Amino acid sequence: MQRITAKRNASLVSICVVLVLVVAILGIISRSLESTVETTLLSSKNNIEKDSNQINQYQDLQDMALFINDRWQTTQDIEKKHVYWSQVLQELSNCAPTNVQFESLIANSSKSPNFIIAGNTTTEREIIKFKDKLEASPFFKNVAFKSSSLSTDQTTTNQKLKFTLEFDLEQNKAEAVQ
Amino acid sequence: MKNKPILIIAITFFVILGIVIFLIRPVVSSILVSWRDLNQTKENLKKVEEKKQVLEALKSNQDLTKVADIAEQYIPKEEASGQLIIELTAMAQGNNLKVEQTSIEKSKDTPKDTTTDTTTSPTPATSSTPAVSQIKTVDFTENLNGSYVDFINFLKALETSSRLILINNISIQAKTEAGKAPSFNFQLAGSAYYKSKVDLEQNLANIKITEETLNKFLDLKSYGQPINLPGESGFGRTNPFETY
Repeated sequence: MQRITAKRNASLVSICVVLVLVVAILGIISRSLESTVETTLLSSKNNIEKDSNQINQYQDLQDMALFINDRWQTTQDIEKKHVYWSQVLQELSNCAPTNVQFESLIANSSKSPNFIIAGNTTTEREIIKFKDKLEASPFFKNVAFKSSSLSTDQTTTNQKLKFTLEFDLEQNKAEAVQ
Repeated sequence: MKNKPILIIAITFFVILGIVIFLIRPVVSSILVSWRDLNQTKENLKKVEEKKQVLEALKSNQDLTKVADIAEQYIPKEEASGQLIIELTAMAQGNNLKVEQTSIEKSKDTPKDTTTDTTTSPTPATSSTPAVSQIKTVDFTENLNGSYVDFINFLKALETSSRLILINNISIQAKTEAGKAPSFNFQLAGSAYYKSKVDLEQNLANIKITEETLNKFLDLKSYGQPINLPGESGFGRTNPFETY
């Protein structure tokens, strides 16, 4: 009975020693892992410092890039309200019937009506043709016929029908084209 | 004798507990802290390396200094109204228009809605901070004489000129005389822009320059020779009230 107990105790001691050894080995492994992680960390920090020093040498370049992007962004913001007048006037010319002559044009991008056109033509039909064509254009809207009157040209004695039209710019379209 | 196994287990427990408390626990906690640091550092390293790459690409870009100069001419740091007059006149004369009158008004701040809008910026590469320095305008009016076709060409030149100019009002008056081709009187009112400071925050997104940005500035055309005082000649008169 005593031998059995002694044998059992010996086994128990062995198991306990193995357990202690396993835990101790785990401790040693964790120490080694700690050292590896710290070495990697140190190396990464050194790389950052090295790269940061190099980046600091490019400070002028960074300022230049930042300046260019700042101007680019400012341009984008301002150009949102940019009216490309050359294209708007080109579209206006395309809408004019062959028998219509402009005498004056007032265009104001911020005040409605954006356009006031005075001109002359041969018949009322031409004025309405012009009005309808403007209305159909994606660049213009709210086209209103204001007045027309018959007058005699002093040099040629021909009779002309003078007219005035008012209309607005389709802002989105006029600003989008480039 | 009966208590011996309990004693062995208790001693083993305390030995293991001692190892865990005094050896493993501090090491594990140190590893966890270092691991977190390592991940953060790796992320920082990635950003720094990316920034370095971007800067090295910028360094090798031959056009960068030229683009910066053009950008500064496009929206100068100061109002540069003298250069604006030179440019407007050169553009008009280059398109066969006669400049009858030019006037510059006192500069003013632009309304808030035209300053930097951070949410609707169409440029994906740039992220921004709210506008700190406002964009200011130099307003001008100009009276011109010439043909309609030349005036349209002048407007086209304005749209691609090396100074950001927006036209707000246009008035065209035709002058027809018997036997002569009609001549035109054009009145323009517009604004040129300037901005003293840079609003963008210094971060990676804001130092990347897209091809679109470079091309926009490189495509602009410059008009008129700028005044360069040390190089200018023809100064000094005995009587400045005499005709020249």
